[in-house]
This record gives sequence, C-alpha cells and structure tokens, in this order.
Amino acid sequence: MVVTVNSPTPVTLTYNRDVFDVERSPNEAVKRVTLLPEESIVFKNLTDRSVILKNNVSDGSRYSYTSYNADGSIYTESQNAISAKPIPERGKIVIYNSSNVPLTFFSYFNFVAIDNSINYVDFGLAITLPDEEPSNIFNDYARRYEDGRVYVKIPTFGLDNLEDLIEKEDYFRLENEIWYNAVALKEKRDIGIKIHDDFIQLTPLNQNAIDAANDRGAVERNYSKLTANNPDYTIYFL
Amino acid sequence: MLSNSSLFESAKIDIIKRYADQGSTVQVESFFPYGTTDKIDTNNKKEMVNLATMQLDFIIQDLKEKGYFYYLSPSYLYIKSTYQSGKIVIIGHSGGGVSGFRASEKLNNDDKILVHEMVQVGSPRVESTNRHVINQTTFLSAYNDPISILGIWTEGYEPLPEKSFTVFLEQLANGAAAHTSYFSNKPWAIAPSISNLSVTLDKIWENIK
Repeated sequence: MVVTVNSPTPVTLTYNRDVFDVERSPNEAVKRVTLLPEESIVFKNLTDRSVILKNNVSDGSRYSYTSYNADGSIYTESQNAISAKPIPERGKIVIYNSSNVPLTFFSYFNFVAIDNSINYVDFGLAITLPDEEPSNIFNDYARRYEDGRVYVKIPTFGLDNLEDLIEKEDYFRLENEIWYNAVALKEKRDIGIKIHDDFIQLTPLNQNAIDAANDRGAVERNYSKLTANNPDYTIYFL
Repeated sequence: MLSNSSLFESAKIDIIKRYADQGSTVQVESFFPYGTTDKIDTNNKKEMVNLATMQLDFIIQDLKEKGYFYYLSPSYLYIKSTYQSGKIVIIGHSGGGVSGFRASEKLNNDDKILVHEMVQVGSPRVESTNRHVINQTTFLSAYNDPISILGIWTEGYEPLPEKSFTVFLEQLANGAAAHTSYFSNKPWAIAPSISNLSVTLDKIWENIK
C-alpha cells in the first residue's frame, strides 16, 4: 500500500510492525491532473491489465471520454460521464471536461502515464434539417435525402479546421451549424465513415484523431440505430 | 431465483428519477429470464422447490462460458429485438445478473451492441474472458448473501470485475432468504431514513450515473 498525505497537517499511520515492512516511497500514491472547463488530457495505461481512472466529479458536473484499446480501436465512450472508468490494458483514455468547474482525475501512480502534449478534443454529433425533406431519418445524428446524400452535423468545438479539409460544395452552414456531406468526408478525406441502411459509423473528427486514424487504418466509432423515440438510456431489469 | 415481479418496482422508479434529475431520458424494461413466483403459492414448498430446481439448473448452465445458454431465449433475444438507441444499462439480480452478463457478451460479440453498464446484484460469479463486459460490470454482494460466492469469475489472470463491492444491508432473514433482501424498502430499525433498497441503489448509482 502506498499512502500520500494530501492535507496540510501531518497524518499518523499506525501499523503492526510484525506484519508490515515500511519504507519511504519515491512517488505519490496516485497520479492526478485537474482539468479546467473544456480542457483535455490523455491517461495511458502502462500495464497489462485494465486500470480504473477515478475522479472527483460531483453531481451536476460531466466529462466526456473516449477510451482506446492497445491497437487503437475504440473501446467505449460517453458524452456525459460521471463515474470512474476503466482504461483497457496498454490502452488510453481521452478525457474532456465538458462541465463548467475544474475536475480532477487520478489513477495509480506507477500504472499510468499522463500525456498532455496533444490537444485532443472529444466530439459529439447532432443533426438538423436542410430545407428539403429527408427520405430517411436515421436519428439525431444523420439523415439521408432522395438523391442519396447523407449529411451529418457536428458540433463546432474543436472542429474549426475541418472546413479546411473539405471542398466548399461538400458542406454548408445552417444558422450556427455546419453540415457535412458524409460520403464526401469518407471519400475525400478518408476518415472512416461507413453508411449502413439503418445506422452510420464515424471516425473521430478532430485533426489529431484523423491523423492517428490514418496512421493505423480505420478507427470506427459506432453510433446506435436510430429512432424517433430516442432515450438516452434503456435499462433492463433482469 | 425465486423472485417476484414486484421486486424491482421501487428500484425502477428510483433509477428513472435519478436519471431524470441529471437530464437524461430513460426507457425501462423488466423481465425475469428464469421465471417468477408470481403464479405460485409460495407456501407450497413442493412447487417452490420445483421452481428453484429448474431455475438453478438453467443458471448453472449459464455460469459456464462454453456450452448451451438458456439466456439466449429470454434475455439476449429480447434486448436485441427491442433495443432502438441510446445506452444500455442492465441490472440483474441473482440469476438475472448471470443472464444479463451472457446477453451483454453476445450483444457485444455478435451484434456489436455495447452494453454501457452491467450491474450484478447478489449474482453468482460468471466465468468469462470478455474483457469489455467484465470492465463494464459492477458486482454487488451483501456480506451475508450465500449466492454471490457461488461460481468462479474466470480462469487465468483476470479474476473479477474491478468494480466489486460489498453492501451492508439490514439482515431481514438468514441464509438464502437474505439473498432477496437487496430491494426491500423496509426502513432500517436503527436508521429509518435508510432501507436496503436505498443502500443498494446508492451503490448502483455511483457506478452507472
């Protein structure tokens, strides 16, 4: 057991000297980082088993995360997480503070590394309608029109440079929203969009993630099947 | 095992409210993959033993990672056929935790549907090598629940869900009957503002919110 005192006053620990050997630790018990609102960080798991990333998130605050397996494939994600999350073995987790207060994240000192050299930004997807009626309404994320075009609308945070990545005819603005032609994104930018009959799969859409995805092939982000009645959670009691 | 379909009613209402308070919309489904005691005279020991024997047989089958899974009929197919969108949370009590775990694995493996949170309450230990499902699993057991020490988690080096917790409940009964006390809303004698239900749900909520 590694113990670190984080209060300004000393703490006395009592132990049975027949049971424990005690020595000074060169490192703290946990490695921690505090993120200001809209800041991101990466925790890498240095071990061969999953490690839990804990936090001090309290009611009312949220964070977004995407966790990756060792091979770069996406393990899981959430846009409004609160609880502790596992980092897959040799994988990593990208954390984005989407609340308006600082949040602290921490894990075992020797098991994780913090990478703050890359400005990762998480993202979400939403959709709004152009003037014409869609022929297929997938869900909140994408719609398809009679001529086969599929448009996806992506929140602007972290994506300003995306406009430089795609030709003018492949996106348009609708009020404060930017719509992207999903097929054009896939064919011209090779960012791993797949379009299925009833759902779509998208790669992460920030520049770093695009570069990383291009380096290792396709990284797909799975979006759920679409429906008009679209609850955030479905709970099954068994 | 030997559950009544009213068991989860208070829990469902509470969970829905907690999600609503954080601004999330929730759809709730409940079913009992190994049957219920609803239409059985619980004073009829022969009927109860027959049901328990049948349930136990199915559950033991489902504890094994390889082989025939009874869950394929009630749990997996139900979720697969009814799921539309959003994140999936499965909360399974006792054998329901076994069935839910197996459903999570199959949804993950065959349908690429990821169960966001899997909660086992008073469940036997399920053999598995599916890291994703293990990592998404929260395992709750009461200190006096004999069911939650049955079975093995898995062979090899990844022995258990990291999110495993013991909950301390008011002991309403001894032995196997303690196993059904997780969702009791009876106020504690020593602290009337607390019930076994509130303790169980607080611990679940910590891990699924």
